[in-house]
Amino acid sequence: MPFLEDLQNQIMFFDGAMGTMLQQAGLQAGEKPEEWNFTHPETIQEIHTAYLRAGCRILSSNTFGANSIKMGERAGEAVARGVALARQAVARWGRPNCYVACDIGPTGKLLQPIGDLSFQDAYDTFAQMVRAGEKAGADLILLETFSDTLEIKAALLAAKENSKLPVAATMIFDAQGKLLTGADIPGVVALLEGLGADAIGMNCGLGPDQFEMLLPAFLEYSSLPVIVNPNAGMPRTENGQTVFDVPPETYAASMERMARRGARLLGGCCGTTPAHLEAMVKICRDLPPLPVIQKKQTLVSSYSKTVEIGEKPVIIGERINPTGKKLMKQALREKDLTYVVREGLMQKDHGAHILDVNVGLPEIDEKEMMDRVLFELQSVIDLPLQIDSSSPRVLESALRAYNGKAMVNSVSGKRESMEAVFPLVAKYGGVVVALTLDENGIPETAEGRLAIAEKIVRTAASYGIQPKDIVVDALTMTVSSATDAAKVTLEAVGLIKEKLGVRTILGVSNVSFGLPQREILNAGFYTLALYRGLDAAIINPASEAMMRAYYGYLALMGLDTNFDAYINKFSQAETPVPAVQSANQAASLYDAVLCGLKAEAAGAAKAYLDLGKEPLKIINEELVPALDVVGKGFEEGTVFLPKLLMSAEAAKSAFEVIKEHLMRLGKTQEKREKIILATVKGDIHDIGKNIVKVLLENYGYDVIDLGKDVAEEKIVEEALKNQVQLIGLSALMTTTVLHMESTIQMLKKAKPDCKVMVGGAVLTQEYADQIGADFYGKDAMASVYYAQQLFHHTT
Amino acid sequence: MEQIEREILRYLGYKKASPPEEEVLCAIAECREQAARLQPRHIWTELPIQCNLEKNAVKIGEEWVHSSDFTRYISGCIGTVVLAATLGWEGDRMLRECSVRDMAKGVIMQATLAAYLEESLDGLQEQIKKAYAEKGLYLRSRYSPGYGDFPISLQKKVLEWTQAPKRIGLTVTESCMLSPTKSVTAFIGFSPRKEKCVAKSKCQACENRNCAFREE
Repeated sequence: MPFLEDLQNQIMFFDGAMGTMLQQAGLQAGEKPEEWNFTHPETIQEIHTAYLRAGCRILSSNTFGANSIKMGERAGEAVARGVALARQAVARWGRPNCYVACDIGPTGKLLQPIGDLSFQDAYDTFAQMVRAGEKAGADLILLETFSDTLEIKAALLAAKENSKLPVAATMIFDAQGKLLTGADIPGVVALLEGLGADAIGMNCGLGPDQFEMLLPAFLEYSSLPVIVNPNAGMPRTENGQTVFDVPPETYAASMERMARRGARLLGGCCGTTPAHLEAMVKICRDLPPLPVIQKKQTLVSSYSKTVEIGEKPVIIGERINPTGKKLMKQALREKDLTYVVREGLMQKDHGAHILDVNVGLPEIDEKEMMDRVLFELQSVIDLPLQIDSSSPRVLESALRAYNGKAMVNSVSGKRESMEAVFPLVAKYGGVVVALTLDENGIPETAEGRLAIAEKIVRTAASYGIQPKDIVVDALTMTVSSATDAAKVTLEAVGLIKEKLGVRTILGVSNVSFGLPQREILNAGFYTLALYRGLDAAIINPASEAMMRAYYGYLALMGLDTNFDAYINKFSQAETPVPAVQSANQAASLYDAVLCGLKAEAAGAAKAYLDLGKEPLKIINEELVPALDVVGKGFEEGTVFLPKLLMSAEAAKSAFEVIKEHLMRLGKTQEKREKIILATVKGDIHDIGKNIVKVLLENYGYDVIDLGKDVAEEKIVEEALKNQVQLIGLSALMTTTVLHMESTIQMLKKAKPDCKVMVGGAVLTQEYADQIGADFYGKDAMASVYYAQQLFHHTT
Repeated sequence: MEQIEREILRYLGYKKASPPEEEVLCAIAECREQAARLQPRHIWTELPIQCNLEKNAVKIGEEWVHSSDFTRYISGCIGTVVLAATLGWEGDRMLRECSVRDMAKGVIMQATLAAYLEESLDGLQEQIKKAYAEKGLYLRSRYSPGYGDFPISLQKKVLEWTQAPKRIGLTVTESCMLSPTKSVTAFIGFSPRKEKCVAKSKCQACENRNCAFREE
């Protein structure tokens, strides 16, 4: 394509602001600029022509906000007209090598989990614009002014899957080089490159001075041509109007410096005019373009954090994986995603940099579960994730929805594996773990594993995947079955790094299988592997021995500046081991719950169990009476919500101990009736619902938590599927109580025996009666009392 | 006790007569430490107004809004500042993380963020007040969509006027909820005369008399 050819060997010039020019031409505040494609086509063309005259080569169509969310059914036509106007301006201008970019901005809504727009809806919105733009004759797609990595991912996928056009993508950074979501420049580069953009960069938000400060980071990481489209200075409000202060000459001088440093596409955003662009083109036109160099950093990212593999050794937490973990298995079966997220937080607290996520269990739908787990994890935890599945279908769905550039676990040297996994990595981006095994099994020698790694790297290249995006796993074998197993693996790590220049990874714990005190061997092996240049290890970050090996290695090898991490971790005196509880402390569980002390409650529960006390007795004689006392105090106004919940959490920690105990005995705790909880459609506030959930669970109810913003149909479907008798609905505002009412109506029709309790900020008894609820819960405990009354439980 | 701590306790339902427990105060201190890491973002602009007292309506910019409460609030003003502020994506994430770890911490963080946001708005209002004082203009207190009969549906216009989605990442959902959730929009009327605003405060304007958070 001529545009891509020009991009190879020239500095290219975008145009300047459209909005600023339209305001000068009389566009009113609150008026949609894209409407002018219908009402003032000649003005739009004049602006385009002015930019062509200034020397700009790429016109951005007046279609920034022409999406169906903002313009409804007129969106497609607005895009078509906008692109056509730019096309006509280029035709009239009559000179070669001028291009029309179909300009696409963000939807103006936030995607889930923060907002209410789904990834698919965002994708569909952008796809419509892309198709309309290509049909109307655009030469490229320009995605600009995005703040959210997930939204630009939806747009970029829409562009790649719905047109053959090249894509340029730019985002808004603040002066610290961060997006509003917190993502940094390396993370953005990794994401956009991985998704196959053709040129990437920054626009809007800042003036050229600040762009100059940020450009070096872009150039350091980007293997693609870099775009700089700054504002004419920082926006300033003057008499209620937004003004920009940088004059054309100053602007042009700054742009020239950026071109000399290596920026390849130059243009302008808010506040820039044809005068700015003309001054810029004049001094930049004859500058030699600096070559775009392939970069070698291995980057993995989330929506706000980037991890570079190869700098310092990286820890990948292995705990979100059901293999050999009973509680995790049960949590996945029961769709208890809070447990899964807590496991993630625990690993983060212990120092994990990336979390491996494996949810493969024979009896569950792995694809659905993986999507949900990733969504929940990314709602709470900012660490990058490693998607771990043997199913290409699961991998594709997860890679599509993941916010950032993920790690992919894994591909092997088998042809079938490479054919399935590489197209996904090539399409969605990612850093893939490559296992050194193939159709003939695992080679017994280091050279054999190197040969497979070489084959994998070579095959990946044929899919366009760079060696920087491959992390080779030389496979840890068990020493007890072959005495030189550890030596071979270590040798392979060194050899693969040296010969192929790729990063390396190992799962460590396999080495000690079948031997006692496994942590001793694991930690020793880990240190040896680190010394051989291991870049990442998949381990349990909660293992003290492994973390000691890790921090010790960093300190010894000069990777821990001033020993900060080491001292921070180990300078404090050993925390005293809690004394074994004696039988005399019989009141302690009751007291611990009453006082809201989590650790003490768990400790006391364990002590009771060790003494042989029946779980049911512990619950009925200790936990429930304490909860009752606190609940009553809350009702009477002597205990306040924070304290009520502290007791609830203490009780919960004791219940977890009991649950684990029963599981070891192969039993499960008996649960009471199922109760569905949901925050209704349109409502994104779920704290009230979450409070009720904790309390109901304390009283033994089997809570099915459908989350927030839940459609009526979904609630009814789950009510029928699970045959529940009680549903709790929460809504915060009058606008969402409407959905509460419609949910109740649908429920009453579909399942007349089902009772509905409601709660939330705007609700009152009257209001609840009016919408047909069976019960209005004025506070958190009220729902517990209602459930007890309904199911004839007394305590 | 600092003002912000008193506000947090009020949001948590503590009354003046009931002192908070030591462990709750500790948790509040932890939450405040975390919240201090957030960067509140805000944006504001100015709009002309035109009152029609008979019809209980006010024209804000180009938009006619029907609301007797807002008309009462703004009457006597010659224009209004409209502002939007948010604790951003990170505020919402922080709240969710706290709730997953421990629900008690979750509700305390919720109250802390609310108080923290109000405090940052007070700071912003002080700045605006100074700027307007130079022009001989006096500000009223803040007034937000959703107070009394001032329609919540106006949020969409507020975000258009302030360009909040692009400038500070604040958006509104289909049901007029601000997203990220820890966000506020408000009007601040200004007039050339220093006079007491006759409008009811946010608690007085609200019909929910049993609300646990109602100011005493």
